[in-house]
Amino acid sequence: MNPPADELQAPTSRTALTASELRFRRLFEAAHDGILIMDPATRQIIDVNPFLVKFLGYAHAEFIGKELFEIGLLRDEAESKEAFCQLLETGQIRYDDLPLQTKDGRRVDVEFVSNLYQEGDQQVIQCNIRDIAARKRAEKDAALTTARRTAELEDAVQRRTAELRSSNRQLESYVYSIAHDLRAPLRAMQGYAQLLVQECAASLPSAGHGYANAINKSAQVMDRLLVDLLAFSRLNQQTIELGPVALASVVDDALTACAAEIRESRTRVVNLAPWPVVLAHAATLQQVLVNLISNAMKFVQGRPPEVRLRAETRPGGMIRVWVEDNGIGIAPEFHERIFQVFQRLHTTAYPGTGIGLAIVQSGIERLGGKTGLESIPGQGSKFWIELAPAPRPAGPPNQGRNAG
Amino acid sequence: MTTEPTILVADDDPNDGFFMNMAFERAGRVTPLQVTHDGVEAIAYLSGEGLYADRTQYPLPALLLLDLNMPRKNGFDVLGWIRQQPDFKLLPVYILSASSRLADINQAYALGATSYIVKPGNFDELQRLARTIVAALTSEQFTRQA
Repeated sequence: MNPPADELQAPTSRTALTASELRFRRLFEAAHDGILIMDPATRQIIDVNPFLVKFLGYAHAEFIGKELFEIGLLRDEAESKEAFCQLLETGQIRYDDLPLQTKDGRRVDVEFVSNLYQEGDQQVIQCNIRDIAARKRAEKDAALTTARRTAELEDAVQRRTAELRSSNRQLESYVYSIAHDLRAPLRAMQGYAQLLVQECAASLPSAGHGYANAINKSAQVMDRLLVDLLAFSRLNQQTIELGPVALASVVDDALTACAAEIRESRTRVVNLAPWPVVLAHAATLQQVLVNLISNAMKFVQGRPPEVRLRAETRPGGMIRVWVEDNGIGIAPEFHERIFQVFQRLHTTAYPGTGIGLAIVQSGIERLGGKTGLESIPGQGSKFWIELAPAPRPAGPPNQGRNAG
Repeated sequence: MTTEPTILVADDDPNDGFFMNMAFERAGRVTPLQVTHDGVEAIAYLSGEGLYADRTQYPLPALLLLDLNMPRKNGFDVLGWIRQQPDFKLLPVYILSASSRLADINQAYALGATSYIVKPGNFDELQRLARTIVAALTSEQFTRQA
């Protein structure tokens, strides 16, 4: 026997509704988010959950009938109105990070989501307010951790770089002292070989002369090597300060330093002035030029060497100095290699230690410049170095170069 | 009787001492150089300590050729000591070092070196240097100072 359908259903659905209401009520009471119910018609609060009461510090009764701005949830009435218009229009407002003030004046950061719901024939606004202090703290901690790790990493890199730099310096200073110390016994060997020839000439057969001279010559080669090594390591150890350097006088000094070599090899030097003023370090630049000039004189075949020196301003404003020779030239595949230390293209035919052009390269690098060459085998080589022009001196305009 | 002005050498390398003597002999000197082998010996010689008290055997020098890199006391120590002695304030001290480092050269002059010569790389150059020094020693200026 079944009861009439409508008699049966009404209590059941009423019970169901009550159960559902009860369930949501419990949720409302126990939630760890603040929940606030408002009447959109009056913008007044009609209910708040216990969490929000505790969170903001207002008594339950203090919420009821108030507008949001009155309890510090929004700054003022205008803002409140604006938020409402938006809510009515879009059905939702959301603030990811909104500062609120509690009753006792503390600032709390919340996530604020407001929804407009249809409830039967009337509308209701539900605001969910979530305390995001913990999240923000975690975010801040994470950011701090990242920053700290980054700083630690940078520290480590810096420490490592400093260590490398210092061990590099140490190595260079070893090279210096080794080269330096090797010269003393070498000087002695050379001296004794020379004395053997000079003092014991009478009792020394001609083969003995030859051997003693060979010792002497080898010692000279080794001494040259050591001198170059010393120059190379000194170059890398020096602290270099860049300033305006007149190329004219550095070129003159370099040619003077090469005078003996120029005389002995009967080199014709063509010095093509004018020379601009570049940003460089005079002693380093002179060393570089000496090595380039010396290199230019070395590799000739069957004719006296000719070395041409000239300067050129490049399209970008850099100054390029050319050292051109009439030597045997260098095949393109060797153009990069010859600037490396101990790289020699000729083992016996031409003298050299394989350090000269390495000094050029590292010297110019330290001056912030570039090196290169153009060469066709059999037609000579044109080495170049490129440096920045010296900045114009700040002085009265009538002291320009064309004044004299 | 004319006696040659004494040249004192301080150099720890016996080869260098030998070559210097040889070079000065070839430059016309009769009296051998007085050679000490480190800074302590050089100072003992100058102050006449121990066997150096015998000034007929070890006369006061007219010139000191001073190496820099030596055991016990180096050339800088010796130079510093010399310039503090009233008797040796004016003693010509030629630094004769294998170092061509600017820092060494500057320090030597700052301490009162008369001249700084980088040790010649071969015997021929050493002979040229010896001739120059012998010529300088016989010049009036040196004779007056000595």
